[in-house]
Parts: sequence; C-alpha cells; structure tokens
Amino acid sequence: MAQIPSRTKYRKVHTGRIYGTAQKGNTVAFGEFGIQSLSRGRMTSRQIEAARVAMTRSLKRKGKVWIRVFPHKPVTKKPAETRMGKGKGSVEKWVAVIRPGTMLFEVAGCSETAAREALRLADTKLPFRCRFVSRDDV
Amino acid sequence: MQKYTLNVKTRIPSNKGALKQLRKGGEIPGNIYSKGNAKSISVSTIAFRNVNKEIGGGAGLIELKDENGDLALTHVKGVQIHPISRTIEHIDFHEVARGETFDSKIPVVLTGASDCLGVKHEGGMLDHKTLELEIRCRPSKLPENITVDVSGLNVGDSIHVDDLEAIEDVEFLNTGIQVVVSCQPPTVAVATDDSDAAESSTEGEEASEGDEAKNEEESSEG
Repeated sequence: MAQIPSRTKYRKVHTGRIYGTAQKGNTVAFGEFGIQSLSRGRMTSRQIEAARVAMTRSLKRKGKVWIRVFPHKPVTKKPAETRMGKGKGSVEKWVAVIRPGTMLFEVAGCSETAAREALRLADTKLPFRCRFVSRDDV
Repeated sequence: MQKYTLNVKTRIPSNKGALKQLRKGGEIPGNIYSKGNAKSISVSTIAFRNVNKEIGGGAGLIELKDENGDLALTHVKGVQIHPISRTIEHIDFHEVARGETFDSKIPVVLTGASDCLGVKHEGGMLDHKTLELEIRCRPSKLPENITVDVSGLNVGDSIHVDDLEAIEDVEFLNTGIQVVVSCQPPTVAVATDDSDAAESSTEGEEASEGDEAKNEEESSEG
C-alpha cells in the first residue's frame, strides 16, 4: 500500500520551493547500503511504493529494506477543463520533498552485488539522479 | 592502544570565505578543545586521510603536533562530511588528559556472522542495531573496537549491552537493555505485500482509466 499521512493539521499546503542540500537524513543510518539523491525534486507515494516493490522482489526475502523518506506534502490539482477560480483544487497526490543528498532507501543483510542490483532497480522508478552509497564510504 | 601522530597548523578563526580558501588549498579546518580552552587548527587532507586509513574504522588516539612543537593527545569527537561531495569539511578533536577518564564512542565489530546458526539453518538475518557504543575509560585503556561473537545466535535471539564481555577499566555508558545485534526471522510477508501492491496498482490504473473515459465523454458532450 502506498504511504500517506493518517492525519494532517492542514488539508492543503503552498507549493513551496526546494532550496539547499539535505542537512539531515543524508547518511546511511540503519542499513549497510543505500541510495542518495543527487538532484532535487519530488517523489510521489506511488514512486516510493514502486521502488519498494522492485527492491523486495529483487532481494527475494534475503535482505531488509528501510524507506527513509515519507510523503508529507499534499499536491492539489484542478479537474481538466475547469475555469480558473472557485478555490484551490482537490488533493491529487502526496509527495516527499527531496533535496540533493537525501538518503532515500537503505538495505542490509545481503551482498553488495545484490544490494547494488536492488537499489539500481529502485533508482529506475525515480524522477531524479541517485547514487549508490555504502556505510564505509567517506 | 595504538597512537597516531598528525601535524597541524594553528589558524586564526575567520570567516566563511577564508575557510573555503583553506579547503581549496588541501587543508581541513578543525578545532582542538579541552576543559576550558579551545584552539583553531587546520590539518592536511591527505595526512588525515592516511591516518584515518591506518585507524581503519576503529577508535584511536591521535597526537597532534603544531608548528611550535606542542603536543596534544586527542581523539576525534566529530567529523562534518559534505552530503554530496562526501569531502571532510571540519574535524573536532577532543584533547584527553593522560590518566583521566574520558567518554568516547567505539565501533562494534561482529565476528562469526557467516557461521551464525539462525542465518545458516533458519534463513534469518542479522540486524546490527548498535554500531557504536559509548564507553568511559582512561586513554591508555581505550580499546580499538568491541568484538561481538554472533555465531551462536538463533532466530529470535539478541545480544544486549549487558551480555557483552566486560573489558578491564572500561565502563559501558549505554543502558544494559539496549540491543546490540539480533537475529531476525526471514521476511515472510513479501509475497502478500507484492500482491497487495499489485492489486492496489491495478485498482489505481483502473480508476485512472475510468476517470479518463469520463473526461473524454464529458469533452465529447461539451
């Protein structure tokens, strides 16, 4: 199931801009390997789910996967062929705001080759450039 | 306890631009601090990288030597790494007094992971939860790492801080019930998750197709 917040304080939020680099959540904290974003953008709950499914299928019950991002931000859209005005559109999807350096997924309990392949498959589901990192890299 | 030496230069604390120039010149800005005093220094990137390699992920004391020949026995308290370029931006050295206890973080190393009973026979997975342990000891007693043997772990078993072998003159500061490593059962729910995901995705597609069809109808009516 795609992740969405269970309860929010406000139904709709402003678009906002994505400035700067990831100041937190930028290290391999739980697993041994991970993928880190190199550019900025948004990751929808569907993309997170698609990446998770691709990884778990690739690992075949061998490893453990951590999802380090959560889609907190609602994105609205007006229906097609609607006149402007009459208020903000309805929530269409939920997205996670991704800055360069954000650690997206982590994997443990498998070989580096298996982790590389699983994370490569996850990377193909994402709309921005990512790189493979391991805990030992400095 | 192995000791490493590193030459440092004293620097005058300055602004961001000066620090950028320093980094461009192959130096890493840093600080040495101890009880009541602090000093700004810079270290050669290559020299620090070599020392880091020698230490090899373990804990070690580094003796810093400045231009005047003053020595300071330190340990690395913190390293700031750039999230994208992965270069070292700043290093904090904490000066330790000989004969006095100090707090440090020591890496936990697992041995016998390939022979682990739970992994070998039951298809389990080792979950290394605590990667570093906080300890208090004298500089001369600082261990390089803490070795934990996991070969006897079955699925569902775990090793807590209390279960670790006591090291002479070393005090563990973490709570005793903290899990260091555990052997988790294999993930069984993967297949159902996938089917759920597949179902939900097909539902989503159907719904979106339905919406498109409706929109087309509306547009044709219009």
